[in-house]
Amino acid sequence: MPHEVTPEDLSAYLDRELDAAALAGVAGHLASCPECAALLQRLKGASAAFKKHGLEPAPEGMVFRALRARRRGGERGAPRRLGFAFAMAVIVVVVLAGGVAFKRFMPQVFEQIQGMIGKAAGSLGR
Amino acid sequence: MTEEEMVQRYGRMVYNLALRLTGDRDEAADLAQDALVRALRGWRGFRGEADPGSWVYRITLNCWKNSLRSFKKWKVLRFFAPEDSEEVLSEPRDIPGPDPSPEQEAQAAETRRAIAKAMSGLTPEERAVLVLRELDGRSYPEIAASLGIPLGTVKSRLARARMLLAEALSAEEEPHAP
Ligand SMILES: [Zn+2]
Repeated sequence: MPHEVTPEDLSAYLDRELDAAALAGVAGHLASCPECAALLQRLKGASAAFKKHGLEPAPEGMVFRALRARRRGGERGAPRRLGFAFAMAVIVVVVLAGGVAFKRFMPQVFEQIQGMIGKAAGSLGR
Repeated sequence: MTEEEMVQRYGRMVYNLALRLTGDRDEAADLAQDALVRALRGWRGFRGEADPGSWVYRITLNCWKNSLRSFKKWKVLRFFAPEDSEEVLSEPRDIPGPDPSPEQEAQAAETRRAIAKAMSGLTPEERAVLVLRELDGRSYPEIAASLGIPLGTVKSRLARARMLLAEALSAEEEPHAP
């Protein structure tokens, strides 16, 4: 049997989200089609079941934690990224300062290492 | 509405939306927290272009999309982690109302099993429409605005979600039918 209404129409009918013309069409069809009337009841049941059993409690203290994070002006993740950038900056400074100090106080060793690096680079280049 | 009222009003719904988008409680808790903090930080700039609900849900959806993008990097690691999302979906931890009778309890457990089964057959986007409609009573235009989708898509996703739910519910009932 051809039905001129779809499950989408029935679902929207349930929510009163049809315009006047579509609403009249669905209501008219429902009056004469027990199959669609039964499907409407099933959709209604599904909707009611989810309303009753679909809602879960939020984790305890979630709203409080969000407000606290807001007051700190922070966002989770941001401090960690900042911390990482800071650590990298410290490492760069230490390496540079170490190199400079090394060259200044132990010039011979520095030259030896420089030579080794140069040789290694040269052999790689070949 | 103050920012405090805003998170009080929408916090639980944001979590439920996050839960149905991710299908995992821990991920949902992180996502909801992230979305709420973002909403709080943006609240002063929010001029009521949309209603606060649509605005907050849109932020939640965007956070979820971002997490999907960054999540891809961790897929390799996740491969070695135990898979638990299926179990989580099928075992809601909240306890229904005051002193339900054993029959009511069994009935409720059956319904929750059916819901979990239906959820696993739906896409995150379909579940999101279902949550906003059934749990927060949002209108179709509001849902369309929250999720950035056309009205027709709201209608079709919701219908599919309800059809699948109806199927799962009747399958769950069948063994007990006379
Ligand atoms: Zn019909």
